Amino acid sequence: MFDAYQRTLAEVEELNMIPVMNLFIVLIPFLLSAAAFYQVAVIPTSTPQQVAAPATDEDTSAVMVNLVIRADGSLTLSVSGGGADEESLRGMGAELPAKAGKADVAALQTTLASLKARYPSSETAFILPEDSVGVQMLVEIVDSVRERPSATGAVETLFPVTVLSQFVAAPPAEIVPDVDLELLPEAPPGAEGAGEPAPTDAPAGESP
Amino acid sequence: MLTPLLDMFTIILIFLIVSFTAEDYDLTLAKDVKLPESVSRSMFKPSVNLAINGAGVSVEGRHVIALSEGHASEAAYTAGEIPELVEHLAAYYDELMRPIPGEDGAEEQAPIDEPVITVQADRGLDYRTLHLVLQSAAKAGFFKYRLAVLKR
Repeated sequence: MFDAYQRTLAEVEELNMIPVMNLFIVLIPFLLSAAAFYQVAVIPTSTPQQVAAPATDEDTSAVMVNLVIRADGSLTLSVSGGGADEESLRGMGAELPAKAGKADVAALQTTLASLKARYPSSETAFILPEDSVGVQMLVEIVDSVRERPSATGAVETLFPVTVLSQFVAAPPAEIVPDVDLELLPEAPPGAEGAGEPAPTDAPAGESP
Repeated sequence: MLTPLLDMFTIILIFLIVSFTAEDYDLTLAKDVKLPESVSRSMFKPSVNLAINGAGVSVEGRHVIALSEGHASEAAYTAGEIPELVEHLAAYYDELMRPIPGEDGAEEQAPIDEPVITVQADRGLDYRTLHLVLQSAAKAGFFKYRLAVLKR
């Protein structure tokens, strides 16, 4: 009986591992070469397009947000649409000064979330960065406009449709000619883009 | 004797199999482009691939124009486009939008719904250049972009 045990022990020790090793040696380089050590995602975005004027009965459940990003990190939020009058739209906008050299993302998200709660079907945010804003900073702010992670780990969607335009500084007051605006012909409907500050480009109309 | 080695291999193998994704990204990351980091989870889809870094702009891996330290010529900024890039992308646009002839005299089919460009922009670039490139792409017919980012 003891002999039988001894024999089993000997057999276990002599287990032939060479085929397993061969398998591993083939599999590991293959999987290593196929492994992705970084994960690439994308942020869908677009530039403003010139489209036909929206239907006359304005959607009162959606607003559009214009966000100016300055190089120092300060943000200016303004709101348009929603069937609201000028005064209340102005009340919904916000000036968010930079905090410690960075954009105040938390305050921005709070403001956007309250807008979203008031106008649930709003989706579009126009992003108007200044020329010298860096790409990393832009991406971070676009991220925070698109969604807000909540404490539970779920993600709250804010304004998922972001349109990248360009901030055009208003000309200094002294060089604006003194023109009576009443006399100017009215702009055709749909010609204005994101409201103020209007994007200078509307490339859709220019290409064939 | 071989047991510790085998243990190690088994662990590596399991780790690699778990992290293995069968998806084939048709995205060749451009060299010398440090993508910005983001929390976006939108998945990458194949599209025309445009890469910008401080030294130049390339389309589908082919160098198109040079930039000097991330800036195009002042003339380009004034014009709001980079003519070479517009020309180059317009060729891609025509290629993409050419209707596919149907078989046996069937009707021609539109090849894709809408043209999209994947933009790999270096995180050190400033928005002025990025916007110029996006504007050039829009002039060539590409209005929609996917900004490539690294998942955080």
